[in-house]
Amino acid sequence: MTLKSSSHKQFTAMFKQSMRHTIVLPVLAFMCLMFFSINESIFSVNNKYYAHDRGLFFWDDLRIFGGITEIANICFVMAGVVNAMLLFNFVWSKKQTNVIFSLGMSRRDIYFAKLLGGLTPMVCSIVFAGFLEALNCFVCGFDLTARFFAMAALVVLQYIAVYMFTFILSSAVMANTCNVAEALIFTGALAVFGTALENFLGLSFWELTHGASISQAEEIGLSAKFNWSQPFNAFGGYFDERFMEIYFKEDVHITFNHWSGIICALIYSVIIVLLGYLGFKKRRNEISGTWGRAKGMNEIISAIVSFYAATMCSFIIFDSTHGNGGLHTFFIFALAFLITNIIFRLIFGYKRKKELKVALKHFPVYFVGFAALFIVFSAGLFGYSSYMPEKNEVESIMITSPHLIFMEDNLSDSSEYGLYHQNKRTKYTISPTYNTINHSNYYSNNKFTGIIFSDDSEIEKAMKFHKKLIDDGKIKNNAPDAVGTYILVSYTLKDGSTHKRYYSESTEKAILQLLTLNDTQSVKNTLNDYANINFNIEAFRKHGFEIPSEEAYENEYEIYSDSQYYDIHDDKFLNISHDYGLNISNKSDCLILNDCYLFPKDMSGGYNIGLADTDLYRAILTDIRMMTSAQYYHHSATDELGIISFGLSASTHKDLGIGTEVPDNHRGEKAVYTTSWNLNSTDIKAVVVTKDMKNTVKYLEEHDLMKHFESHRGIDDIKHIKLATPGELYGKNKLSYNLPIFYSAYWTGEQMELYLSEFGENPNYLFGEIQYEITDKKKIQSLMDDSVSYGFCSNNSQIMEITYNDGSISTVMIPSGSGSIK
Amino acid sequence: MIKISNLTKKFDEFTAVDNVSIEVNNSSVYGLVGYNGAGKTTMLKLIAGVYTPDSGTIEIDGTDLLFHPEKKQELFYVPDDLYFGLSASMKSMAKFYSSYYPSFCMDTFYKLSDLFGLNVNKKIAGFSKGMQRQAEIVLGLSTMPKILLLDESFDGLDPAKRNLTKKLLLDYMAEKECSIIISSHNLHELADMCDHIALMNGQKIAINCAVDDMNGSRCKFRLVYTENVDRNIFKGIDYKNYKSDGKIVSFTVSKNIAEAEKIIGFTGPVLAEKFPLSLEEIFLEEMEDTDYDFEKLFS
Repeated sequence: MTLKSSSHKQFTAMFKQSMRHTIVLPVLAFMCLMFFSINESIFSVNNKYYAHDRGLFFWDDLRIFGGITEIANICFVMAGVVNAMLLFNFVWSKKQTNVIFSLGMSRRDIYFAKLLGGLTPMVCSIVFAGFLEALNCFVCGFDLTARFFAMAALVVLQYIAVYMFTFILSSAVMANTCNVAEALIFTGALAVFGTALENFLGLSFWELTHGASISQAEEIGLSAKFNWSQPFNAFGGYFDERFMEIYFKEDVHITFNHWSGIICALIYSVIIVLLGYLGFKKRRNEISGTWGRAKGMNEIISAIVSFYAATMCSFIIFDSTHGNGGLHTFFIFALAFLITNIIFRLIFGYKRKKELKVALKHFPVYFVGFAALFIVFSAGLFGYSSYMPEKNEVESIMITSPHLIFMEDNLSDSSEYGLYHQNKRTKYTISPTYNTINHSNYYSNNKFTGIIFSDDSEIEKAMKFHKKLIDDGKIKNNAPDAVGTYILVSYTLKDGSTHKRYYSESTEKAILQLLTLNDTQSVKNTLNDYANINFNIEAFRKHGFEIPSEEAYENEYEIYSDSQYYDIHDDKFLNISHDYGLNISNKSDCLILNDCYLFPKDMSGGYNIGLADTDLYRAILTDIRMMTSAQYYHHSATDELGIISFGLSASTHKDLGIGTEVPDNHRGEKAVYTTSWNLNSTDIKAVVVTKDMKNTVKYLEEHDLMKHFESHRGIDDIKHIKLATPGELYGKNKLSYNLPIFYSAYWTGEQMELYLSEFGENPNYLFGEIQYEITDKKKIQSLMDDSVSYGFCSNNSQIMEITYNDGSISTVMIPSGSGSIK
Repeated sequence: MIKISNLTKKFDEFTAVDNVSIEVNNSSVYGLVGYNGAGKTTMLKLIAGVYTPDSGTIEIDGTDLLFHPEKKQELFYVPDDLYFGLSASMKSMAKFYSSYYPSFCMDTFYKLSDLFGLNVNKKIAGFSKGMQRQAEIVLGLSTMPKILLLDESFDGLDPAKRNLTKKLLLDYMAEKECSIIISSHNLHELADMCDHIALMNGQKIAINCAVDDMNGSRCKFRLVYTENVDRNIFKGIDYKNYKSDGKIVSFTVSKNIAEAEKIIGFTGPVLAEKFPLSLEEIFLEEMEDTDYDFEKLFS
């Protein structure tokens, strides 16, 4: 026998030995998978289609433990680490290295024999279990179509990919470290590298590049098309739905995206195998059992761990400064990197003084690298920030913003005092997948859907607005003319491609330009849709309500508004709202069907007119459709007549924990005593009625309701007034945003006291910092004459707190340029 | 034949083996002697392929081991730190080695185990230290190696087993024409079985020659004078370990002994004695040229 041929025998021997060492977990995996297969079969004994109908497709029953991908992936990840440890733990022992490395085998043969020995049993186990499960599925009623096999292959390969990647990564690390502690720590650090890198790129992209969003990191990170950062979850969330659902949904195709996680894991595995082998080949066995002597590995891991720490620090800085960190954040990133690098080297270093010197010596290289990245992202990422397609290339533009549709912005965190409409931007997220901007808080989760402009003139107008955003550049939210808002601009080009840009802060001028888009037909059409949602019988019928006639519809309408029947139809109402994209999504959705109230401008006490008839709704909507953006946002104080509110039910108050001052069955009561509320709330719908709303005014006059807009309070009821700019209250110094639309708010004295006793502080704490009180009646009168409940709020506008003698408080706005604040 | 040329191994800044070159012929027992930390074990691990040299080559019959590790199938390394699996028996270890050593002979394995009185089915972890060493030697010899590397392999063996092992090794060497490199602190053991000895000092080979050539190659002179003498009178003699107690002088000479005798004759000693150095004395002479003044160490 020649030495060559006997070396093949040795390779085979080590391969077999490795298989024997790692056979337990594959057997367990096979048994677990078969358990779920048998489970499906047992229940299908008397009902062939049991598994089929329940969607138990390819071990989908694993979901009972919290999700097929999560639970199974965790198991396969752990199996990969354990098996790698079983096969490569010999390198940590000097005694064992004496035996293994003195065998007549090359290091290449040792490495690959062990790798193959660790992979083969698990791959065979999954494949065989998959084959049996395919048969099982067939017995359970699934058709063995190409689609079936593609999905089955996807499941099987997913598990193989996850195990393979973990096993190979762990093996590579373990084969190149000194001891088990290092091996596990280093494996963990490398394992989450993809996530950390994605976070870093996302953060850099979002914070530094004008027109980018953190949610959009996928656009440069390729995540949307290639699941590159999560090799431990090869599905990458693409299969959030049950397999069963996908199996039946013919319109859901298995695309490259679905395979990308597996392909990605495979590519990484190949690269890691090669890197691991190169390291193993050069491995100095004298490091076995020591600490901190795996030089190359230490350098890589120290850089990666430092990179994580620096990224996390940057996140904290960006979060606490709301993106105003800029250059400071970069230096903090660099400093955090250096400190972590030094600490890591001191912990894991063999010769600590030397390691310290190396850290300082290498730092300039890292610093320059990060600086280069910082510059690239800040400078617009190779034209990303300044990109605007040619007008003739554009098929349509979609603009999404909470401020694009009149009275539809529902921005409030809560109804407390109405000041929270000045939300911090962290309350918003952007969902590029659904082209929505989401605003969520304890009470609600709103989606602001986009308005599509496809008419040439409208496209031009929208592009001008986008150009303005680009020209303004990335501005800090504490800049003098900065206002906070989220804007999503999405181009669909004639070639079918889409380009999206996101803006979280803009100038006042840009926002003023945005508000003029309310004058376009596309926005008006959206208001029409809004009308249909609420008043179209067909919409109810479409969603399963049996409404034989308009009369019955009106009756049903009434029933739904009654709290006794409210819950019965709750789900269906939610469906209606959701499907049509109405920006209300919780129980209070149905408040639109509740009673209608009329309030004076000071919001102190209202009048319940019962269920509003469709004529009032139609009058309001007709007016809104006819009004211009100037009338919406720039009307004068004298234009405002009062407020119509739909919904101030007892349940609303209970939900908010405010109290039960409003009687449970208040329909018979005409006078309504409110506790606290604001115009901008997800729980009610309110409209500030102006003189321009001719149809509404006409309706109210015809029904002798205008008198309810009159306040019972006079100037003498006002104790004092405080004034402050938005910046003085919650912007600039306090690092929150000034959102550009103002909504008034009101609290009763009793409610103020209740809040004080419960929480120990004045709900109006922001105004608490403003010491100057205006008590001069003449001045108060002049300010009251200029105050509005709703409208554009520039940074030079004044927010006015009115404290009444009875302790109640209301907040209104005096627009910039008003005579009383000049 | 093993040919080691310019072999160097560094552990970070520390040089463990410094530019060592030796040759070990077939049918030869080569002793590697040196203080602790002299580089003996490193040297053996380099030959076995456990460590990778920083420079230099290791050839077996002209084949470079670094590029042809499969050649190590003809080599067996018995380390000082033995390793057996936790639940391994001699039989399972024999099975293990038989997969990797094509020449492994089960018959020899059983015979040798029997000779040493070792139970092949018993867990090796339950063996005494000496028995474990015997087990490893049995396994090593069963692989029928052309080269056998033994690192302090007689440590822990009782005198009877030591003699048995020596006899076995010599017989095996004679029978199979193999090369045996054995490192040890015990010069007496090496003296009666090695044909070549290399003394490692300061990570280098200080002496490398046949044992026969070494005997009588160095001697110690003890001279008595009537008056105190100055060491300058011995100018021209390449001496070491010079000691003077007034009228009595002693030193060792390793080169030009005849010339030294002539010079000594001219100095007129009343008494001159010449003693050949034993292997151990030669070893000590080479290693202990650091003349510590022990009296001052604790003063």
